[in-house]
Amino acid sequence: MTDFAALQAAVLKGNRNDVKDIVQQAIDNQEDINAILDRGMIPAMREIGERFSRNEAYVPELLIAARAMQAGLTLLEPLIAASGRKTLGKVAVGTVKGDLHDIGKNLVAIMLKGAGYDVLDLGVNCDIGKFEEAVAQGASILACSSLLTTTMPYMKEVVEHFKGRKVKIIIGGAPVTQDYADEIGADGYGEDANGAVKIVDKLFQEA
Amino acid sequence: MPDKTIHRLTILRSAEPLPEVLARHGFPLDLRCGGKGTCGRCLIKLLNGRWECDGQELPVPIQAKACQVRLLSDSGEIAIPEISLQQRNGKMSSDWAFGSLPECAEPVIAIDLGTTTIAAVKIHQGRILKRASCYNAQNRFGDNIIARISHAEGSAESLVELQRAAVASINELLAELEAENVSRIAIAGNTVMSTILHGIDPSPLGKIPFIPPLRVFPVRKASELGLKAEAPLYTVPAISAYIGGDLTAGLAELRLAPGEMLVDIGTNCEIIFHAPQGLVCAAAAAGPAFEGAGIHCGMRAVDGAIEHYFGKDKFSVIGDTDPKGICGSGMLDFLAVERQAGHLNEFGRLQPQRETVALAPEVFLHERDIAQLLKAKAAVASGILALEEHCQSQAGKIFLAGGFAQYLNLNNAIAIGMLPAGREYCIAGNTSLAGAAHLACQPDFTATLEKYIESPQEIHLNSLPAFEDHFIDNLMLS
Repeated sequence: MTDFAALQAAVLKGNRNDVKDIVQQAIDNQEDINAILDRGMIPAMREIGERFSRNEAYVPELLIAARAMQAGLTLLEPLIAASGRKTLGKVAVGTVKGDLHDIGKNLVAIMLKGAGYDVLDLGVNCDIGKFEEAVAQGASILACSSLLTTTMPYMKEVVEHFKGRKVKIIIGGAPVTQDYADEIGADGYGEDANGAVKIVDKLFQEA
Repeated sequence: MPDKTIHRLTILRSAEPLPEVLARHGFPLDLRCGGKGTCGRCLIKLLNGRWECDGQELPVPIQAKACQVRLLSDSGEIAIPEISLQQRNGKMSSDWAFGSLPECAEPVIAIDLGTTTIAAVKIHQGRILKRASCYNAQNRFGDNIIARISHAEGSAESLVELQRAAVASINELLAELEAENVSRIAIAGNTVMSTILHGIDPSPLGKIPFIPPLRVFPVRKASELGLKAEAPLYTVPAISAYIGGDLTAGLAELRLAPGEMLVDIGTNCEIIFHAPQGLVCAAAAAGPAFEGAGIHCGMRAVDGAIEHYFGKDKFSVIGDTDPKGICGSGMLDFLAVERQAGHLNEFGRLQPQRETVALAPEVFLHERDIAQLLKAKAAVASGILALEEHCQSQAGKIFLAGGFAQYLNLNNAIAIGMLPAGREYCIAGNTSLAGAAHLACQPDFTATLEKYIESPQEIHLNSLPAFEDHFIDNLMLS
C-alpha cells in the first residue's frame, strides 16, 4: 500500500530522493497510476501552488518542489502514456524567439503537469513554426515565456499570427505584465507559475 | 533615522516629463525602473496645482510616482523627499590590487564605464594623481543593460539620448580630473555601454544569437563622441555580447593562468575560466538584488546602508550615520549569520515563522526579499559550478572583481553557498579600470587586448543541462 501522505510531504518538502523512492516502490507494487497522480503528486503540487499564491511559499521552495515532482513524473511518464490516462487538456509552453531563458518556463511546465495537464515543452528560442507544430499536435493553449524586454515583442507576433484561430495564447515572464497582455491581445497572462496554472484552468473551463 | 530632508519646489507646466525637468534643476530622481512606474522609488508629494496620472485627475495633496504624473495647470507645488533622489556619495571603487602601471611620461585618463557607476583616474608617470566617480546618467532609462537596449531600440533619438547621457556623466569626471592636457583616454565597459558610447545601435545584443555589432572599437578623438577632451579615446575590445571590455581588461591584466578563474559579481555575473581546454566564459543573470533593487529596504552601497551585519542590532553603517537601508554585503551577512543562529531554515524561511525581521528601527527584511537573495546567490554559484562541470575541471584560484566583491565578507559568501568552498580567493578590485589604465599608459597594449578577445569560448549557461540543477540546489542554504 502506497503512503500517499508521505509522497505528498516529500513533494512539498522538495525531497526528490524520497519522491523517487516512493514512486518507484508504488510502481513496483503495481499501484494504480491514476492513484499515484491524483492522491499523491497532483494534490501536493496544487498545494504548493496555493501556498505560493497565499505568500506562504516563495520561488525557491516552488522550484525545489517542482524538481522533486519532475523526478517522480519522469518515472511515471512512460506508464501514463501507456495507461491512456485522460488529461485535463494539452498545453504547449515555450520561450519565444530570441530568448534562451528557461528556468521560469520549465517551472510553468512542471506546475501545469502537476495540475494534471498534458504539457508539450517546446524549449527555448521558439519561432511561430514551433508553435504551429504544437497546435498540429493538439495543443489548445500556447504559453509563451520571455525574460528579456528585447524579446517580448515576439509575443505580439505570435498572438497576431494565431488571431482568429481556436488556439488560445497566454503569456508570462519577468518583464511581462497584464497591461502588455491586454495591449497585444493575448488571451491570458500568468503573473507567476501558479498564475499560469490558474489562467489555463480558467481557459479550459470556458472552452 | 533616515534622511528626512524634503525639497519643496514650484513646477511650471512644460512638455518635458517631470523627472527630466527635475534632473535639469539638480534633483535627479531614483528612476531605476526607467520611469515605467514599476519600482515606486520616485515618490513625491503633489501639494497643489492640477495633476493627472493615467488620464485621471488626482486629488491634491497626494503622494504619487513622479514618472507617471503630468501637470495640467500652469504651475504646481511638489515636495520631494531626499530618499526619492538618486543616491550620491556611493562607494565606488577605483582601486585594484595588483601589478604596477607601465611607465608613461604623459598624463592620461582611464575610465571604467559601468551600467550604474563610472569611475575614472588620472595617471602620470606611473602614479594615480586623482580619482573621480559618478553615477551613469543613463540610469534614468532603466537600471540594467536590457532596459537600456530596449530604450535604444525605440528610435534613433533614444539612442542619441542614451549616448548623450553617458557622455554627460563622463564629462563631469573629465572636468574634475582636468582632462585638457592629457595625451590619451582609455575606457573599458560592458559591451552594451561601449556600443552605445560609440553611438552604435545595441539592439543585436538583446536577442539570440547575441552578436555584437562591433567588438573592436576604433580609436576616436574623444571630442567626436561629445566628450570634452581633444585626446584620442581608446576603447577596450569586447569578447562577446555579455562578456565585454570590462572583462577583457580584467583577463588581460590578471593574465589568468590555467586553473584560475575571474568572477565579476554584479547584476550580471560574468565568469572567465582558464580550463585545461583553454579559456571559457559565461554570464549568469544574478539580478539586481545585491545592488539593493527589488528589496524592500535594499539600497546601493551608499551612506546610510548597513554594510555589515553581525546579529540583531549589531551592524556597521556606511558613512557612520543611522541606518536607512541595507546593501548587498549586509544582506549576505544577514543570510549567513541568521542561518548559523538557526533563525533561517534551509529554504530561507524565518524561524520561528513570521514574514519580516527588523534589523534596525527603520530597516527590515521580508521573506520575499530573502527569496530574491537566494535566487541571486544561486545564480552566481550555479554559474561557477556549471561552467566547471562543463570543463570537467575545478578552479583552484578565483579572482573576484567588481565593487561588491570588495566589501563582501568572504567567509559569509562561502557559508551561504554563493561561492564554492575549498578554493583560494583573491579580491582583485576594479580590474576593468586597471585594464583601461594599462591601455591609457601604453596604447600598444591594444594588440594584447585584441589577442585576448579571440581566445575565450563562450558558453551559454542555459544550454548546459547541469545549470538548472545547480541553480535549484544552490537556492537552499546549507
